[in-house]
Amino acid sequence: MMRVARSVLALLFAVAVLYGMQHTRPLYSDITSPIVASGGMNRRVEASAFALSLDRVRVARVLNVETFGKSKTYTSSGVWLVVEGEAEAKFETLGLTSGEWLSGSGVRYVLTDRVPATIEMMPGDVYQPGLPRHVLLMFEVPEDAVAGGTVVVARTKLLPLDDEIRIATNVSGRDIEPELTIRRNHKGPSWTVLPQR
Amino acid sequence: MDSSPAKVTSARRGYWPSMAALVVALPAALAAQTWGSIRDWRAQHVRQPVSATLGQPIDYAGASWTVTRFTRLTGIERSTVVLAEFEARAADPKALGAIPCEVRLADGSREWKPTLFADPVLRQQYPEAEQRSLCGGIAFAAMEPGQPARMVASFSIPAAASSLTLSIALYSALPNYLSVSEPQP
Repeated sequence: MMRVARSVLALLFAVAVLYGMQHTRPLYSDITSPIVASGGMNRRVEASAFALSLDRVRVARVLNVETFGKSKTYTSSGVWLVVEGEAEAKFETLGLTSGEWLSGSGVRYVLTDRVPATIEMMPGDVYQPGLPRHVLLMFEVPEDAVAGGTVVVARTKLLPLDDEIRIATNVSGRDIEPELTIRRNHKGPSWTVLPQR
Repeated sequence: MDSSPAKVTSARRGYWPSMAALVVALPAALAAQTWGSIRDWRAQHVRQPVSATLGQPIDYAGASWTVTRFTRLTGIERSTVVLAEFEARAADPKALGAIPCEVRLADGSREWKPTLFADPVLRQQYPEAEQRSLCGGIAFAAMEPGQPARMVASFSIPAAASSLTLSIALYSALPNYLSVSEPQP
C-alpha cells in the first residue's frame, strides 16, 4: 500500500514539475534576443563589437534635404526626428544597418526610407575600428511617439544574441521646430543640420 | 509483477554495465549531434598562416602569388590609407576566379576590411586604382593561363596602428591563408 502511495506521489510531483517548466519556459525570441547595452545622451555607450554616442535629437514638422545642388521638401502627417551622434567599430569593420525609435509606449519605428541615400545615413555607412564616424539617423513618427523615446541601434535585426545599444533620449515632444534642412557638405563633416544650434 | 530473486539478481547485475555504457553513449550522442557545428566553427575560425615576403612569389591555392606593394598613403586627420597591390599567376584563372577571396588587414587586435575605391585620398594619390580589380572573379575573368591577374585593396585605418599584416584567403585553400607583414622603414 505504501509503495503504491509513494509511486502516486512521485508521479504527481513529476507532473507538477513538468507543468511548472512548461509555463515558465522562455520564448525562443527571448532566448535569442539581442544583448543590450543601455545609456543616455552625450555618453559613449559600449557594446562588445561597437560603441555609440548621441549628441543631438531634433524634431521638426518639415524636412528639407539639399544634396548635389538640389533641394527636396518632405512633409509628414507626423514629425521628423533627426538624431546625430558618433559610432565606432571596436575590433572589425562593420555596418550598422538597424536603427529604431522606441516610443515611450513601446512602439518601434524603423529608420525612414523616404530620404535618399545620397545623404550619408547610418545604414549605408561602414565603420572601421579605431576611426569614430558621425552618424545621422532620421525617423518619421507620430507626434505622440516623440516624448520619452529611445534610439535602438544594432548591426542587424537578423543575428541572434548580437549587440544592441539603447540610448534614452531627452526630447520632451514640446520643442518641435517648423522645419529643418539637411545639407550635404563637400568637405569636413558629411552633412550639416540647419538652422544650427 | 515478477520480483523473484533470480530476476532481481539479473537486474542488479546489469546496473553497473548500463551506467558505464551511459558514460560512453551520452558524450558520443552529443558529439554526433554537434559534429557539423564544430566543423563549421573550425572552418570559420581556425586559420593557418602561410608567411610570404613582399615581392617574393609564393604558391597558394593553385596559383603563384606576389604581393608587389604594401604601403601607407598620406591620410586625413587621424586616419591613413593603406594600399596593397598583389598579383596571381594561375594555370586555370577561370577556376580560381570562381572561388571567393577575402582580403583583410590586421594589427593583432583589430581587423579592417578593404574600402571601395570611393576614398578621396586613394583617388587623389593613386588614380590608377580604379583600373585594378579587387581580389576575386573579375580580376581573373579575362586572364589567360600563366598571365598575371593584378589586384589591389585599400584600407582606411587609424594613423597610429602598427605591426600590420595583410592576409589573403581563398575559400578553397582554407584553413591556410597568405600572410604578409608590413615592411619596416
